[in-house]
Amino acid sequence: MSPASSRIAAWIAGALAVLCLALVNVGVYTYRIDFYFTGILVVVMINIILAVSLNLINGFTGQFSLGHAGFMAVGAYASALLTIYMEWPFPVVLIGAGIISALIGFLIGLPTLRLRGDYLAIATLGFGEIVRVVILNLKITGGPRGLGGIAPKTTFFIAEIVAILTVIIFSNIVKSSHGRAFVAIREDEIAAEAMGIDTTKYKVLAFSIGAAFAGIAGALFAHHQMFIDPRSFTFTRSIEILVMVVLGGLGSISGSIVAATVLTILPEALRGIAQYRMIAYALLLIGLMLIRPQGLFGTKEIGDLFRLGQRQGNEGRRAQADGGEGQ
Amino acid sequence: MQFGGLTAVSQFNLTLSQGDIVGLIGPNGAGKTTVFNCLTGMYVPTSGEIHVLGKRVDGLSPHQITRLGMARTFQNIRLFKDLTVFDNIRIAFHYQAQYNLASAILRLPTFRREEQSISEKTNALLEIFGLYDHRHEIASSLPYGDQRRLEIARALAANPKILLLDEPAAGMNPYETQELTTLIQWVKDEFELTVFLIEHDMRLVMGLCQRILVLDYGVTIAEGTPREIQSNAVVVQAYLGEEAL
Repeated sequence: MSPASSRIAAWIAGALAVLCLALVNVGVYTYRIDFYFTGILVVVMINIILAVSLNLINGFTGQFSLGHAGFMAVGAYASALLTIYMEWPFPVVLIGAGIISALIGFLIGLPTLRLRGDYLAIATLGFGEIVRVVILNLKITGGPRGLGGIAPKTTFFIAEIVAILTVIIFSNIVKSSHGRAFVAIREDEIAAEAMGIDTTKYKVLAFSIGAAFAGIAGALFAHHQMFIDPRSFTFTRSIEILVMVVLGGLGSISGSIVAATVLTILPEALRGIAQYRMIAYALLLIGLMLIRPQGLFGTKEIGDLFRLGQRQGNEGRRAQADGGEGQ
Repeated sequence: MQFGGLTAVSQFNLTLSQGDIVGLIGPNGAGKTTVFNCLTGMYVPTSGEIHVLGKRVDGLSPHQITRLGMARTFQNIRLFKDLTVFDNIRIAFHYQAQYNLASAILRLPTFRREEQSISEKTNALLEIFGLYDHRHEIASSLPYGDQRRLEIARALAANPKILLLDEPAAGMNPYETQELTTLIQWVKDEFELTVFLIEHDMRLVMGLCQRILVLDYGVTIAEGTPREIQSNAVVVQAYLGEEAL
């Protein structure tokens, strides 16, 4: 593909994507898409935010975190309590939930990020469970009966806008020197440290940012379900988010978006085959991991599909210019 | 430097002046890399002091020491294997980047300017090291000699005043070693560096170093000019062998 035609292809693909999104928006606005499916789309948006935020920690920085549902829970409950008791406007509640979750992420990150690999995984798993058990036992969070009466403030459009902002923010982070610092830590932490990168600071930073957006996703979730209880934030939930990240590609934001969308819609789409639904879902996951263990996108983004053609084009032309004289 | 009951390095004194090229040689297991690791902050020395450019650094973390002006390469090349050549060097410019995270997220003009500056500096280094044409290739796909050169280039991106090279000629044939000797000399002059290197290849050591320290079982057994070291009987017995004479 020559650079010119690959750029045109990129524009066409981009335009198609925007068109699809626009159609969905119109469908929801005009109530062409029914209430039930709109609800699914809201969950898609929430899952995109969760997957992208976890990807920063696990994918780009290479830290094995298994407690993302914990941060989601913190955001969900914090936002619910803010809405119920403080009656703040929704955007403020969202930001508040993000800040509180980020703080928790920071406090958890600081001690645990000395740990590596499996040990960090267990520590984060432990954190997730601690959050869940604390919520289960506090009176203010409603305990096992959960917290209800949350105003349904999450509309599809709000969820969509937050998801889009999340993607933009994380893309900008990743394509910057800070993003490269995260990746360096993943690739070789010792070398990264030797090149002047404060690896502890950046690991904690990745954790905090990831936690913040998980909290925002939790807040959106709480105001969509109107009722939250500890059973929504179990270790299984953390794994579900992790599956989306791994399936999409550890280190690919595009991958997380696609995987979150597919994995949210798929169980619904498979409802037709009723009792075989979960078997089909599981087989699909196994199959995908066997065929493509690096995930759908690996570490590449959608843009790279087009740029790849461009690079090859350049090298081809240089070879021709040399006339094969060799080095 | 003591690890529990094992003393890896017990007698080592080094003074580097600006513009020196000093070599550290000795048999395997003598403690040479341990010395490097102490200097660069990867180990905290259990006794002794380290001062860099007037500042006491033992106990500081590696990234702090690097920012004070000391960069290194590794014995078993530690490149960012799955990243491109370009990115490998670019990453080492990180701590010098003049923008914060908010700037990056909001894509403010400072961000764009700094990114441009970093890219230009990276390309300049790539040109110097003859790696510009390979800049989009994955680091692990480079031939071995190029990988070693890339690691040195990356260390230079961290803007050091002191360059520590851990066996830079390991695995190189005589021709490559000769090229490396010329390169290191040139880099040292061009970037006004002080170089301290560990090496087993005597051609490189004798050809480059003004001064050599010899380490054996953690103890400095000799120090002097290449000529003095070569004719030092203790060193010959412990390490060099008769052929070096």
